[in-house]
Amino acid sequence: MMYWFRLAWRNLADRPLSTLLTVLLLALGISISAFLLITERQLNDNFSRNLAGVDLILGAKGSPLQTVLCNLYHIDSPTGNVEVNEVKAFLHPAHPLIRARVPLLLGDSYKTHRLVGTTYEFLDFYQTGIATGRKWQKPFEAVAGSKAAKALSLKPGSSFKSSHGLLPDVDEHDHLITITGILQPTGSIADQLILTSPQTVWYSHPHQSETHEDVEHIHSDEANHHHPEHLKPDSTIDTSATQLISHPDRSVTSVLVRLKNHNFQALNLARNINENTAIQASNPAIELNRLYDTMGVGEQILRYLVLILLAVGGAAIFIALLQALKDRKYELAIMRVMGGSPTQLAGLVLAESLLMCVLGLVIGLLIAHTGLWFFGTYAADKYKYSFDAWQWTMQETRLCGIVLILGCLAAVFPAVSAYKTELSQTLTDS
Amino acid sequence: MIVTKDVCFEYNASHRWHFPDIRIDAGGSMLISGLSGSGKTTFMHILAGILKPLSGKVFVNDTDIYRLSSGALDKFRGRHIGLVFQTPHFIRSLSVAENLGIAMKLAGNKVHTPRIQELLTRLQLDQYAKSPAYKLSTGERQRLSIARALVNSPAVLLADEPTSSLDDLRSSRVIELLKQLCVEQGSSLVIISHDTRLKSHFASQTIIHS
Repeated sequence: MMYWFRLAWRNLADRPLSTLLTVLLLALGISISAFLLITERQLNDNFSRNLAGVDLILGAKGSPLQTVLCNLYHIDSPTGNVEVNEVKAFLHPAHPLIRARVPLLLGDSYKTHRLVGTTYEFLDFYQTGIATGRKWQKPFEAVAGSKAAKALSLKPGSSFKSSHGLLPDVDEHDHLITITGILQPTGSIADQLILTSPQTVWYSHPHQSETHEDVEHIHSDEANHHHPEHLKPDSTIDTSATQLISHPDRSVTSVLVRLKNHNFQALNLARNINENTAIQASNPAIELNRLYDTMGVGEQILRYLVLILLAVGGAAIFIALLQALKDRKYELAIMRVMGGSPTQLAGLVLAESLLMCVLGLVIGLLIAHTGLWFFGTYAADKYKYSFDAWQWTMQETRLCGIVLILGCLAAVFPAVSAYKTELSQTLTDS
Repeated sequence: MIVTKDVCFEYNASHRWHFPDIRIDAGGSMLISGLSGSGKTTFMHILAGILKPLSGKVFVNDTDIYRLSSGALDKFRGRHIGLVFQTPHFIRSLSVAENLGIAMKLAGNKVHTPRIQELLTRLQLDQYAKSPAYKLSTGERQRLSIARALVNSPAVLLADEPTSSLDDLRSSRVIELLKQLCVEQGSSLVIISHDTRLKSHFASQTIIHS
């Protein structure tokens, strides 16, 4: 078997230009196909992972999609803040429909990495824990997600000043925040965040309005003009959502909610909240489906494009093999004369086709992953959205299968022609 | 040894050939000549198991080759019948030595490097062993073609117009070399040619009439 693959390889190497053009054409189709498939897969995976089992997001009235993108994916601005008093009922552990909840206070960042005021439940929601150091235990203490820590060179003991919104070094707060720990990596957006207590966010904004026009900076509290100087060093913080109930006048950006079950009553919860309260309940699953539907047409077009590109690659192999067969008909006839069976000749043609496919796959996938690495670096920089450029996906396994089948199909006619080589006539013509 | 009996072939009803019966023992040789279009190449293809006759039998070492299945005939031809063509063709991507190696492989034998080396030395091609076959001169290509036909030590060696592109001296050398090699390894040699220069080299001759 190896002998025939070696011979096939030598035959391909003997016509380098034709082989190179065919392989590059195929690799181009494969690279674009793989890039689209891997990106789509990883986007979907990322979206699912970042859902963190959240059934509802309770926040200010506004665009529900914006609420989802801001509070789950951290790629949009908050729609506003709500008072703890308004969400008090949902923070209570005795709520009959809610299994778990976690408050979020957004608005500040450090060098484009979002600073999130929250409670320890956040770690359970994103299935993470402390890898190095300890949790935040006082105001102005924080832990960094694994990627944020790496990007910002943060480690326990490091300190920084947060700034308003997501722009770096703009409108910095006066107070130093100290890193006490680094989170275990999760592969989710949690890796890109810096987590702190609600108190850190509240005490950072003593003089600003909740109706600040800068939508990215929705600060937490205007009514209570607390000043950091008033804080005692041993000030306590809220470590669970329930503890926030004791601060009814304070504000939060949202509360992420997991329901106990998905029965009729639970499904009606969102509608009841939206119709009967001043807050808004957004369902991430519904909003994402709506988003997918909008993007669906584009995805469909991309899928057709993938098919067309692969078909062009297959056609290139077919033409290359047919031309090679024409050029080498005497060679094939001589091989038959020397005892080669028609099956061996057809196998040789098939081996050449498969080798071109394998070469196309290697080059194409390498281009796709390198492209994804560049795109991932850009996305991580711009949106704090991480792609694993070198991860192998099931889509790629399928793509490999499809390309190899395509290679076999493209080789069928040339292989049959080789199989049917009419010896006497060919040798007489020579 | 090769023996034919009552071999008849037709392309269509108007072109029918009745070929003479021949018998060439191991180490023996025969020149088959005739005018262009007389059916010499057709007869050679029939002897080689490439073209099935309308009727008649071809025996190679007592095997009636046209009673073999298609696959068995391919392997039989590879092992027991060597062919030299007027225009030699080789596997372009392979070297001189590899072209002999693939002849062994296709015949179902193991690639035996000492045998390849021996033939290349004998035919003064050893210095080109690693060169691409297509880079050889006409005479060298003809010699490589002979080496390839002999590499599996066939029972019969069939050569179609092996001297048509060679001058008198080289033509004579090639024929003597073929005869000598066939005697050494006990192969029956059949030369098919319209080249009248070859008549003096063969005691046994047959003429095909159209």
